Amino acid sequence: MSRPVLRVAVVGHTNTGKTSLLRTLTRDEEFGEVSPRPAVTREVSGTSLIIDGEPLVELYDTPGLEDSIGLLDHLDDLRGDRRADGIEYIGRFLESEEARSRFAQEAKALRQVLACDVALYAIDVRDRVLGKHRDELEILGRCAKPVVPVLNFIASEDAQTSLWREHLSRVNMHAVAEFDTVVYNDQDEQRLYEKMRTLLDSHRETIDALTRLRRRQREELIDASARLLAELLIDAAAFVMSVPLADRQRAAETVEAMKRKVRDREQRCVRELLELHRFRPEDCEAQGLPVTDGRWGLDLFSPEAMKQLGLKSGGAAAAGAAVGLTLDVMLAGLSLGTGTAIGAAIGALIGSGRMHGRRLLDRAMGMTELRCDDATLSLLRVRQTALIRALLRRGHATQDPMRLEAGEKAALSDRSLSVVLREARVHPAWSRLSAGPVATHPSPHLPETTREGAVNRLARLLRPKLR
Amino acid sequence: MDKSVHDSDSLADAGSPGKRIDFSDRLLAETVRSAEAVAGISPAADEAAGIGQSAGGDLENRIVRRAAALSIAGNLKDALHQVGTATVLVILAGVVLSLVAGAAAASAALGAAGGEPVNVFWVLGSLLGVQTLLLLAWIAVMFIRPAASTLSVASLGGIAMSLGRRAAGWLHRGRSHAAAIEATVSVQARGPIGRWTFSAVSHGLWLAFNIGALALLVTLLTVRQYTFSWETTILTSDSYVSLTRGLGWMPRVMGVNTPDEEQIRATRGPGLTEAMSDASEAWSGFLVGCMVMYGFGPRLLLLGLSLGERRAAGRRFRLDTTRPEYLRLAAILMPATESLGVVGEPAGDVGSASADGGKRATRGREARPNGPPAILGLELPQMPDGWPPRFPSTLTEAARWQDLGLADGRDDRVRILRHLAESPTEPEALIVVCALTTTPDRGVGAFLSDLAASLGRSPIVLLTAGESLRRRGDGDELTQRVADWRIAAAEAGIDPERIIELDLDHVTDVSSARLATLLGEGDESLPPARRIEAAFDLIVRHLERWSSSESTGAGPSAVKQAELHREVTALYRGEESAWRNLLHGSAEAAGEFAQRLKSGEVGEQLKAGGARVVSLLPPRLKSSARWLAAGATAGALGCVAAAALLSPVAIGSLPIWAGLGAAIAGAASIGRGDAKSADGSEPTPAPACGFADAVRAATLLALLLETQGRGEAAISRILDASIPEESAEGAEDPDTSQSARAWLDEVRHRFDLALAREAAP
Repeated sequence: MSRPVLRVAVVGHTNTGKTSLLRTLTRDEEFGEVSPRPAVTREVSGTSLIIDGEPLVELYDTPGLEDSIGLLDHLDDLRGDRRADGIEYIGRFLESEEARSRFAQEAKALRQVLACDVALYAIDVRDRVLGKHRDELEILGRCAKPVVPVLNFIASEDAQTSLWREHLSRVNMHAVAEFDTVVYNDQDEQRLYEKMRTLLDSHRETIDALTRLRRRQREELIDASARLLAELLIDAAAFVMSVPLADRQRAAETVEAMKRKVRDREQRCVRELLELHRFRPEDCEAQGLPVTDGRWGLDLFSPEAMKQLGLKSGGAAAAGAAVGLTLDVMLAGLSLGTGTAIGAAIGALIGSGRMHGRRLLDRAMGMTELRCDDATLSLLRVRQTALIRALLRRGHATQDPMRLEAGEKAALSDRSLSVVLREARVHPAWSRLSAGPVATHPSPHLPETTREGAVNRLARLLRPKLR
Repeated sequence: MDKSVHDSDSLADAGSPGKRIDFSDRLLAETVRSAEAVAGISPAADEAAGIGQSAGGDLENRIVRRAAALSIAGNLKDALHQVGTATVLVILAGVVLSLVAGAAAASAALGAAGGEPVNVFWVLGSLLGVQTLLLLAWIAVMFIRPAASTLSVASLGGIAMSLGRRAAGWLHRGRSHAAAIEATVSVQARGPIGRWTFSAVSHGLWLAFNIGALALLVTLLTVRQYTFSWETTILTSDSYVSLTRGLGWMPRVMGVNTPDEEQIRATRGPGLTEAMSDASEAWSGFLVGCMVMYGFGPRLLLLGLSLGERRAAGRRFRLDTTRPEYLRLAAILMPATESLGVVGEPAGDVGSASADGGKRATRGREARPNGPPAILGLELPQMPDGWPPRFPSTLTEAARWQDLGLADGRDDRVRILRHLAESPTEPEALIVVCALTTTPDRGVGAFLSDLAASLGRSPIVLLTAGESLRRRGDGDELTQRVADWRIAAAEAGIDPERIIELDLDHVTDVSSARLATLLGEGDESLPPARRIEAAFDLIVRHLERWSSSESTGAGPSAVKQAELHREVTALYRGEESAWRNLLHGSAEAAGEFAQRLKSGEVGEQLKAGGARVVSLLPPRLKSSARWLAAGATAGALGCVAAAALLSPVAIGSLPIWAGLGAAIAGAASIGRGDAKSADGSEPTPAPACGFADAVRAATLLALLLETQGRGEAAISRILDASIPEESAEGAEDPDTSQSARAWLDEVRHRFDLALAREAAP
């Protein structure tokens, strides 16, 4: 089945976020130039979206319609007293001298609208409905092309969305889409496509393909984010290092080495998430993400980070070792808590006797094991969850991301989650951090088939919490 | 010719793109993923990415081509090969062990020749029992939970593979080998390929076991003489007959001689006769036949099946391109967009408004008499105080303004331009109010130049609503936006001198003065912008007068203080309405107060005025009884002074003085309530009575009047910064003219610094 190419022109007054809209729709952060200054876009430039290997949708950025009042005057002059179609004297205007001089910018935009199947009219709803806007709509109306007004900046407190909707319906534009280019919302994007679909029956297949593609990409993005988070948590939960109880100097060094590894691991997760969502680390702050320059402000092991989340550091204080690490002074895993841990420990006894044997050996040699405590795992999870959520909204929606809601607190003690993590605790081989020069067991990291399963299970459990 | 060269080049580059990718290519891609997860993106990845991108096809194809083109691919391929070899070696060892185990089992089961008769079912049970049970378990797993992870720990194959990995890991400790192992595991953990691999190894090992057992069985039965028997204690002979016939059916079908019913019955028990050698032969056939049919055969078939399925699974295996690492690659390898570049003619010199604007501005015009200044709002957002904006009345009297209304659209523009053109007088100035929240565009520029043209002189462009733009979080953009407006206005032919920023929501006397200058009213109509020095001079002069007349040191009377306050407020007469609002809450309340002042029933209002000033005090001063009293005094006397300015009265003759002390104390106690909640201390308020207290009150009033027009928080901040800390001894109490002057100098110095801080962004 052949799908027709859909051509979309993005038009609007100057500095209403046309290029931003295009960037969001194309997922191309490099497109055009965005600035709060007027008339940055001086020419029509296009980009085409490749869907299932075919360039199916062409999007065109146009210069702002700056002098619509003057242009409408001019158009009325052209019409004189003859009765002609709007489109007729738009054509006449485009051929006139004025279209190359005074109204060159407007002419470019209008020419593109005529060459396209649909026009998206970007509106900054923080503006009042003014005469220039009315005239722009009037001119676009004469182009005989379907127009979908796109209300931008709806999340602003100055937004006058209802006034705009009222006016648009007064000029017979009822298929209005709300789409904030700053605070991204995937639902809004889907609705925008629906609006276009109702107006463009001939391009139904194309728009459906685009809708499907975007939906699939978003699901994939959420899946992949959940997976990255799950890997981080498994790596941290399963991470164990032996410290000699007698040698305080070496014990302290091991604690530091361990903290550094966990910290680096979190950093890697942040980096991978940013990369996955195509964010440059230096853009984080500008986009209102909870991380600056790709890093969390508070150190993972600082008491402030815990406090910020209202978490209490678990056994760390009692063990006197360090914030965020807990000494496993009891026998294999039994100190990890409740009955579920015992179950997991028994499973581990069966599953990896080799490891257990070494544990007993360690103990006989006066070594003890050090691992991340539950609070650190919660902190890791909550911080990355906040980041992923912010990334999925492309920032800004999360001005205060680190405050936990009541529901979040409950999620911290999620049983099904903690079961997987407790299982991980007794499988040191699951952790990618266990290998390396600082580990006291310098064995190569031997991946286990069961790790994959645990990561997948954890990712499935984490996924619904990311939306 | 050129084309073919190019083709062969790309063929070499992309790692034989003509070839269809198979399982080993995909496994290599997975290995690359594992390696890059640890070591980061490989060096020279860009080149490989280019190859992947140009490979075309779906994402998987591109990922595989990129992996093959990477420089580390060779190493990883070797590592994969070595890991595979190690695993195969381990499995071969397992096969040898299984052969030996099978033979040992068979030999043990048959026992020594010539001894006791061999119990047929015991032999069968020991050779077939365990493996049949495990076979059933395997079938159960395959039907119930065919996850690779189950088989990896619960099957002989899984254990063997795990040993193989361990061996490989032990033999090769390099990073690429770790990646190879990890990739193998990851591939096996996913879906059918691991399942069938583990199954194939399991069946292969059991097949070896069966071969070993069978070989020994046949050898021993060939070269030795065994007698067979079967025994039972609780079962009947009939059940053994049917069991034997049943088990023997399959071998019989295959043509193997198995015992008939008579032979079976005859074999029971230890009492078997030597004569039945044909029966022994039949029993041997039965044993071997059963081993082939129920041990060797099924394992051979299942090995074949598993290998076949494994091969099919390998063919069906696809990379999970939704993995984060691959999604990240997707951004590079599979561009989702394709730039179409600039469409139509490139941006040339866009006709700007300035060209024809300038032309229009120079149009000849006939002179007309000057009319009152006019004001119009251009595309303004919602104004909080409505239209027209209120200017300080000294700037120009409201009646003289000519309001041209709001220019929102075409009709308004036409109306305004026509009005300007047709009016018999020409406004001496035209103020065009524009909002900084609006982006200037050529339409605005065109209208501004039209205005300039019809006016014959440059209108005044007043940029307001900067605060709203800042509030949107566009703080940095404010400067840029102002610059843009200046450019746009300048292009429209507006004199840059006649563009001012003036937030109409926050008019200050400095900005009013600038506006007045532009309007041609000049400085002389306005008092100097800064009057704090004059106010402080007044305070010192009054203090000198008081101390010379009142030698008792009881302090100035309320009437005398009120006179000082009146003189101070008179300095700020220009912005009367603003500070009257500050003290009274509204202009109406001020008028009412002035009316009732003469009747003396104003105690509550004085108290309210005092409380308002106290509420502006910063927390530090609120905790001081002295400053509470000074604030209450300044507020109350300020009210009186303001009223006296509004409708002049002789202050000394007012009937309010009796109740003044109570009102001030009341106002101060309201402030004390605040202070108590702030730090728990409880300052005692008292009406200002000493010289120093009178100075403090008057200073406070002067500072308030000087800062009026700012937000309350800003006023509070400035007060906090301006008033010096009180010394414990009170030695610097400003109660003599010298100490007061020194103190006031310090206050003024600090005040200047505070203002500078406030002005800084």
